[in-house]
Amino acid sequence: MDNQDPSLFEAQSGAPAVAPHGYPGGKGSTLVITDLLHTSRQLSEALTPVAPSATFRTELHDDLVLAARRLYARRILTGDLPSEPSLSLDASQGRAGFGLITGYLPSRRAVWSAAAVGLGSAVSVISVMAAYYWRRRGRREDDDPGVSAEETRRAA
Amino acid sequence: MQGTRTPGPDSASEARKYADMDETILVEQAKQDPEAFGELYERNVDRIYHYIYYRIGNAEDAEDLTARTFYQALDNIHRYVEKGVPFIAWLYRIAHNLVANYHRARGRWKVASLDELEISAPPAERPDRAAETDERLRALWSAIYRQPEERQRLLIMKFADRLSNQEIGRLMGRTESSIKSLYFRTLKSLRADLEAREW
Repeated sequence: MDNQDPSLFEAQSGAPAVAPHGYPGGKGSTLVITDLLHTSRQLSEALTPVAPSATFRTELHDDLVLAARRLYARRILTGDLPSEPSLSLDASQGRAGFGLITGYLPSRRAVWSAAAVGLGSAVSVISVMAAYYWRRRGRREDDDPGVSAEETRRAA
Repeated sequence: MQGTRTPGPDSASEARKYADMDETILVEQAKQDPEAFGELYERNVDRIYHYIYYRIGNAEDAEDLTARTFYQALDNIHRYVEKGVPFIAWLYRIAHNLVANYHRARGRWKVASLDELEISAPPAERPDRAAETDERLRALWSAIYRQPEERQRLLIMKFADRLSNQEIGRLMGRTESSIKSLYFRTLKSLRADLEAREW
């Protein structure tokens, strides 16, 4: 590269082809431009584009999309995002998922309540029957107090 | 980003249905649609990574801060208002704040010692020349880090991100001629700094 050609400096650095007025070196100073061109080339070498690793790039993409799905579904549920049909499938899936969960939880509670009531009822019924049985048995013994097993054996 | 990953429709390799979409529309779409946000990520991740990497000089931390930049963007995109500047300007601002916090947390605003700097000469060079190039690069980097923050940003956008003066101007809220002038002053300042250290 011809370092003395100011137009190259313009092309490479984007800076004016000659040093503007008011700067040391003054307008048209090729010496300054040569130095600066050199620095510019050094910068070009030092600041080469670097890329994040492909694994990181892909993983972050996937994580972000996943996080976005959760976030947008939550915002729809809280009313921060409008739940219009134009929304993506993911958002409606989020709503459906939440609906399923909210629908499911009361049902489960109902089942458990019913089971508890049922169990409670069964226990009550058994208790009542047991009490009834013991009362009847007690009454039977009270009704015939003189005939004991010992007396029956002796009479025989 | 822990845990087992199962390949599925989330994969970046999936057809990019928003690949051709205009950025303004894409940003609006990304406020509701995760796939659109994924496309914004694809378009900007490399530039954000360059910016962070060259501001901190460490690949691992640069990846971490890049991830955090996009997570913050995701959290706040519903508040984003288009103001006639490219979307990446907003991402740069988030990245800039994270980098500032990073340096603050490490107790230094600028890299005082370049020993930790991973930036080095390309491995293909001969060992003797690589050492020389390495030394030269470190001196240059040292000089770059001594520049005001705005000039560092300009250099990274210009060389690592390969943006034009016009694009840089839009991102930094300046005119194209102002960017040219700033670049010229930056070059002169770097030159003077290096010469003062006999480079």
